[in-house]
Amino acid sequence: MKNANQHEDRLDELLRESDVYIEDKGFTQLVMGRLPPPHRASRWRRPILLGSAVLACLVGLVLMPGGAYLTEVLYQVASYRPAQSPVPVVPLAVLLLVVGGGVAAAVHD
Amino acid sequence: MSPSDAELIARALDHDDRHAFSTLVRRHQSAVRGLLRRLTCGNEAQADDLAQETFLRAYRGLRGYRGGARLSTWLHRIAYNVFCKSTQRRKHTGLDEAGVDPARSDCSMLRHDLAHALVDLAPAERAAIALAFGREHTHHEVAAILDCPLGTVKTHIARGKEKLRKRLRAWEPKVAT
Repeated sequence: MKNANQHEDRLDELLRESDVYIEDKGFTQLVMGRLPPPHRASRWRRPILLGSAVLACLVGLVLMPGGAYLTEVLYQVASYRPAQSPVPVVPLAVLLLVVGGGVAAAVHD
Repeated sequence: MSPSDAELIARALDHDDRHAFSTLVRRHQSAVRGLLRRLTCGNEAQADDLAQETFLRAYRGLRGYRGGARLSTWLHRIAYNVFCKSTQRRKHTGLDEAGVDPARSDCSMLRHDLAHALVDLAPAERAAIALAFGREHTHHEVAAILDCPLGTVKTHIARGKEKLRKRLRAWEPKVAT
């Protein structure tokens, strides 16, 4: 009985002993070399997103109820003549806010 | 202090950080390769192929790792599934004598005989023994990896050890001293 138990213990010991640390020896490099290539965004992705965001902002605001105000702002900015009228500060600020928001949203990505 | 597995996984997922994933591979490669070597009865080439496949699957399925179990448990489960699929593909159990590598330098005659005795075990018995003895897994974790009830795991281990004991009976007087 004692011998049987010792044999059992020795068997357990052997089973544990066979678990030795295996050196990497380039294994990780092999795995990394087989991974799919990293996802790279197209070089046009950012400009397209940016342009789309700005355009969508402008179109959306012009078409929205109250878009008449933005139309007026655009008109004032477009028709500004330095010699004839004061700088349209408020319209410019509104325009910058709208376009800046669109740009920031697109760049944040 | 080296980053935890969870931190490395987050980096690999959020920024496709290859360096983080390679750290995970380096950290767990020995355990995964060791398990597969036991499952393939010491066939190092086959075990390493399966280990590579294991890590590739882990990379593809990293988002599916929920963190409920240890990463090693999750990886060993993948490794075991890869091994089972491989044996199915080969239309035999992969336990052929050719798979045994008797020339392993650290093998005494007794270890050599043990390696051959392991060949005779059913894959599930061999996996249960390999996981329970070599990989510091609890029986509950072994059950999760093998996807079977706890009682079945205990049965696999008991039956497997009984078979090993019978196969190694010739050594009994020697090992008992």
